[in-house]
Amino acid sequence: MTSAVRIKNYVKSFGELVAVNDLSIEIAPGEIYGLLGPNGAGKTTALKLLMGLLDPDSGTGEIFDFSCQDNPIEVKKRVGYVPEEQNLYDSLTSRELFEFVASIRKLPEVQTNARIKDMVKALAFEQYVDQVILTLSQGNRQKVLLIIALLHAPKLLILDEPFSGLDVRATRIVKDVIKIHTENGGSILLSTHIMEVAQGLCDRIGIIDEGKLIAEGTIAELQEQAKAEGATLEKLFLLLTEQDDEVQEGVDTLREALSQ
Amino acid sequence: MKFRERWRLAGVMANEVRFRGYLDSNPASRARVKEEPDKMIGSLKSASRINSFMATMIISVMAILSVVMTWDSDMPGSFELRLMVSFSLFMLFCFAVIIFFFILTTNGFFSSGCSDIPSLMPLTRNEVGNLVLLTFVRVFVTPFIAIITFYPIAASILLGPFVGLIGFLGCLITIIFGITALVAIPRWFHSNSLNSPDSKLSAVVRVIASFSVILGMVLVYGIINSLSVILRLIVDILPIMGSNFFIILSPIFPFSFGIIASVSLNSILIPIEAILVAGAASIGYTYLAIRFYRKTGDTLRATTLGVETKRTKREIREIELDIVSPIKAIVKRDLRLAARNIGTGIIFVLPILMLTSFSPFIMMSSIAVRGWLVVLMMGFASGFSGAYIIALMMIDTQGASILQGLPLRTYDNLKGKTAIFMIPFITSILCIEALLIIKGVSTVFLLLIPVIQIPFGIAISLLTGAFIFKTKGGGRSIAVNLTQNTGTSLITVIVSGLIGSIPLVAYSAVFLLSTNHILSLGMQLLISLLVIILATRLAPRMLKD
Repeated sequence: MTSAVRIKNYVKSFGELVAVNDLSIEIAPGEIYGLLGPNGAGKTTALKLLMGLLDPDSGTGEIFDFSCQDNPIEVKKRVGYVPEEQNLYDSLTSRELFEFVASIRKLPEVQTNARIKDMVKALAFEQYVDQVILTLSQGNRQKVLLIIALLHAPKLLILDEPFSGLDVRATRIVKDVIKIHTENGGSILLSTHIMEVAQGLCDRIGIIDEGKLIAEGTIAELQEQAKAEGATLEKLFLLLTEQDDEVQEGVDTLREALSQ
Repeated sequence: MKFRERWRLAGVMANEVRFRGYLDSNPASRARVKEEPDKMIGSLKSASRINSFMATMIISVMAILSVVMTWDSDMPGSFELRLMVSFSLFMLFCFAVIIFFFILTTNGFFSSGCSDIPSLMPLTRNEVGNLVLLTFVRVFVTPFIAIITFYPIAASILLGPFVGLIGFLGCLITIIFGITALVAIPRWFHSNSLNSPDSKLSAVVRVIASFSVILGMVLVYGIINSLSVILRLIVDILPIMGSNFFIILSPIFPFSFGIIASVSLNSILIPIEAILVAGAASIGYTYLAIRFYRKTGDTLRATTLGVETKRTKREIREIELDIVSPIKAIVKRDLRLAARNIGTGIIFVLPILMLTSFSPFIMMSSIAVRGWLVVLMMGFASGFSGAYIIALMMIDTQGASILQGLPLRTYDNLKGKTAIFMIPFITSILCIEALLIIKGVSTVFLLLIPVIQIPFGIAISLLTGAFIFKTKGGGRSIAVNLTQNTGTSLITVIVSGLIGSIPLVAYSAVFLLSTNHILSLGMQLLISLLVIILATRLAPRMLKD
């Protein structure tokens, strides 16, 4: 059966730093997969490798059987990608940017216009469409990236911190969009630091630390792996990444510093 | 807060501005800075050093030239007149250098958010404004020091301390005026772009503004190159206009300071009315400079704190996207972005720059040498095309997050750039053609050399663009900044010059062997077509999606 994502033994180094170390992940169609990890764990690098933006030192990546390294154009046709950074065309208006994206993707005009109208309305973005992107708040810029990622109705969404800066309404809408997307057979690869969101949304979770996949599975499987029955994802994350004691130590130090 | 402490803090903020400016103009570095921080900081330092070195070198050369011109008795005009003109032109030149070299960095300064943290500290608005202004000065400190030291010191030694003092004051005021303009121009541009991005009239005004700013600077450079010609012109005008000449110049900056400097040497050339007006004007300019200095700090603080938009209620328009072909979309995007940014607006000015540098050669050359001149100029135009291609790539400093997810082939991106490149390339060649027709050529066949070179623009753009993408981006699209990546810019100009010269060399070789124009033009055409075909095959192979 065709996997939505198939990563086999990805390795990527920058000088002496091994950012991604023998990473293997498989995501089935219709699945929401959460990629979690501390800052600098290699999540964004892994996603960039998958988008064909970086070349791995070794290993292979495939999206719907298309090689991420040999055929990135076919990969990008099937993927909606929300990157972590918000480097947009600041002096264009959102409308101009949507036109640019729709033109590059060669989308059908009537269908795209209907689709964008609905998305803009749902995200309460109508009044910002003709504003220059530079003047938009972080949350509204994130909405621009989400609309662009969804514009071509992709089969796979790769979302790198998609909730950053979003207000309550937009966060709720994006969560629902993720669910609707998978109900229609789409897949999601989601990288986030919000444990509650990951716990509530993801079918399976992979925890990556120092470039290595240290745990993978459903919440129940992770609880079993960490030998912590009934633990929340946050607790599991800290246990599996061996940060639990460090966090307590940090809190104690801060408490002492703030009480002086 | 003591000045010393403020200066130190401004140094920290200036480093941040340089760093952000570097990342903004080299978006590929944004990812690399996480992975190879030491290497990136090294590149940043060397880029900053090269830029400061270039500006300082130019200023020092000009300072030396100005002093030498004053002392050179072979130059036309009296000693006092030479002093007045050279000092005034030196100030004008420094003003141009400040704007031309730093306008792009200033743009980055606004978006750096360098006053965000100081604004949260228990500091007054004035103190924050002062700190931001000091930061601004520190970003450009090396050339500023060069301006206020080289000429004044040389003038003090050679012409006495009073001339040195006037020189110092004039140069200091020039810097303040330069900073004021440097802040005001991009700020206006920024605000105009934000408030009426889709207004055609505003776009036209902005394009004209970029033209005026950059062309103004080019003209000043031109003036400096012709110091002796200007002096001779003034010497010729003097008997016609008499003392009125000085009276007209006396209230105008920087001539008022030039006149005062000249008067300090007991000049009998300048009438008393002009001296009085120049003195009053100089005091007025000094006062104005103090006002500007104070106001600029406040403006900088306000601008760096946030984007200014007029709070006009916008009408919500129906969303009907105009979907076009990918190549057309790239062209539309690039032209829109260029019209909204004074830095990238340079793409509208470069072709004119090329024409203005060519025209005098055609106008002044004799008909006998015009044939070879055409060949030489076409080679030169090819080199110039490299600068234009880099300017087009500057546009890609934005939008990395968008492009990362789009199925846009690098070759298609390059084809889009080529489409834009061909418009000024063809226009420029047609203008040269028109000039040749006006001035006349020994044989009509010479007119065909530029015409055959027109389609070759495709090969120049594709191969040069592919070369940059290959060497700088490993085959992927990459942004290159004309002023910050000086090394790459220089290499690109050489590469495009060499590529563009291939059919011209073929023409020249056959002509030297056969002295037959038809045969030579035929060879030029044949080689052109072969290289165009080669370029369309080779360029995609050099690229990576």
